[in-house]
Amino acid sequence: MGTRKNLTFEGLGPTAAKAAPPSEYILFCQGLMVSFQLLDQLKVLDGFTLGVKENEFLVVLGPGQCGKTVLLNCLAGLQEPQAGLVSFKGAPVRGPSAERGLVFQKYALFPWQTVEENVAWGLKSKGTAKAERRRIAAKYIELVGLTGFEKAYPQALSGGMKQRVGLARAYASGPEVLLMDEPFGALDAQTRYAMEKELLTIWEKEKRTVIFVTNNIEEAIYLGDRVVLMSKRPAKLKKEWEITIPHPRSYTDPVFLALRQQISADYDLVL
Amino acid sequence: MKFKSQFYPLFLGSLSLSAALLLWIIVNQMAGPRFLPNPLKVFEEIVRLFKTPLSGRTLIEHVIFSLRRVMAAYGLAIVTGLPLGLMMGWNATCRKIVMPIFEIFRPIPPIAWIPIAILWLGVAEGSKIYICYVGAFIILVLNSFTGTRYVDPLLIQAAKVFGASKKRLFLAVAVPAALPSIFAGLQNGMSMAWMCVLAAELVGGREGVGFIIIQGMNLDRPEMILAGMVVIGVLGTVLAAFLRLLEKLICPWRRQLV
Repeated sequence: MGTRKNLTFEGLGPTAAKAAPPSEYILFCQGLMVSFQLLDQLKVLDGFTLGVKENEFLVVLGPGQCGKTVLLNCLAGLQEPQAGLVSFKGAPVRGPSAERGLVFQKYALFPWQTVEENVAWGLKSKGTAKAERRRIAAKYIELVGLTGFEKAYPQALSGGMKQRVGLARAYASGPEVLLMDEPFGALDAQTRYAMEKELLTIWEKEKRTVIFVTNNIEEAIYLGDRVVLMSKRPAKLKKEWEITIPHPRSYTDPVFLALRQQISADYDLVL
Repeated sequence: MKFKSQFYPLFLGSLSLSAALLLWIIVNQMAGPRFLPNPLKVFEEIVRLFKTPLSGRTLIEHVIFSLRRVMAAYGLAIVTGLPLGLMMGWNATCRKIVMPIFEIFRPIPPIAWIPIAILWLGVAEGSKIYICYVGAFIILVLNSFTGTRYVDPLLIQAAKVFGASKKRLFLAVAVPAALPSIFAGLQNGMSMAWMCVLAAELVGGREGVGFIIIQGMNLDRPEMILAGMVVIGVLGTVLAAFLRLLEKLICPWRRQLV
């Protein structure tokens, strides 16, 4: 890790100055710089600034390998940026925390634990009593529609069901922000549509701040209150859209399609 | 097709066994009993060894001698090798300290230890157990090492995000993730311990299954040699089955795979 410049909020750059003041954001990152030493110095993020408001459904859209996962890892506290600042509720992020729950593209469920144990993992970390753990786990297992599968091992579940467990695990740990890293990226198209719909239903019932990362333009428009578009590497914030189409949104709605075309025009193609 | 579901695995399993037996009989018929005694003769020899003591001990007593050596060495290897391997896999400092000396010892075949083990521990039990111990130990260390070294980083990330302490990260993530590799090590370590006990008993000793084989050679009785070999094969199979059962109990999530 290189030396980390601790920027303060007063030292906002020109891009960030235009954005709303940080206090409006529950989770905020500013001037993020992350690079990896591969064959060459590979800059993934360079001066990236982004904020999400409380209970907002923010979609971060970007082409493959543009640094979306790295961005989420920084926000989660799993990765330390070489420069820049991540702040959560006004305090700098120093490491991972269940307050910022993460839903992984590849599920990342513990194969040796049952659905119930996986969902209750975060609660056990916090030292919640067993009876309470089971109650909360049962609640979120029901929320994602997996009642009856409490004792099943992940290996026995389909991709869609695994991701439901991932979602329930993130919810059950009591997060204020849900970070979702292309959660439906590994699912087939039909399951994906169904899961998108269901995610919104769940989110309506239990509102949380969501940062949802995807490379799928349709998915972004279908889900987001706001969509921000990342450029190809090194990623910068290219453009953003407020989506005001009321839910449930239809993929064939003319407004939806027009927006889709607009975003496509700005979307960087990467091989 | 309904018949297939229940008896098909048994049928498949018996295929290779009967083919081997058939081959055995054919070779016996063609090359004669001096080259390869027939299976029935070997079975009779096993029964005879059960009843008539060889060098003052029956077959059961010889088996117990070998088994005791293997188990003592195996237990010792588990108690010392597993923790060392887990530590090496999980803790980079520990790995860097231990790896160089381990790499030197690793390629030395356990059998190469026989002379020095006899010099240090005498021809009695000590040296035999030591040789088996070296064989099983190396394998157990290697397997528990790779098991914890190559835990899916994604699972570690997930555990960290949902707030795992260092202790929980090790006990609830690294160890269960390493279990399949550890069980593979337990299986191979067991085989290695058997290999070594035979080698040790071939060199010196008046008891054990290895002694039966050597005695068969000295007395010029091929059926006795084969009797010893068959006993080892059956015993090894039983022990391996026991370990698989243990794995099913400890790793319920792998039941379909084991």
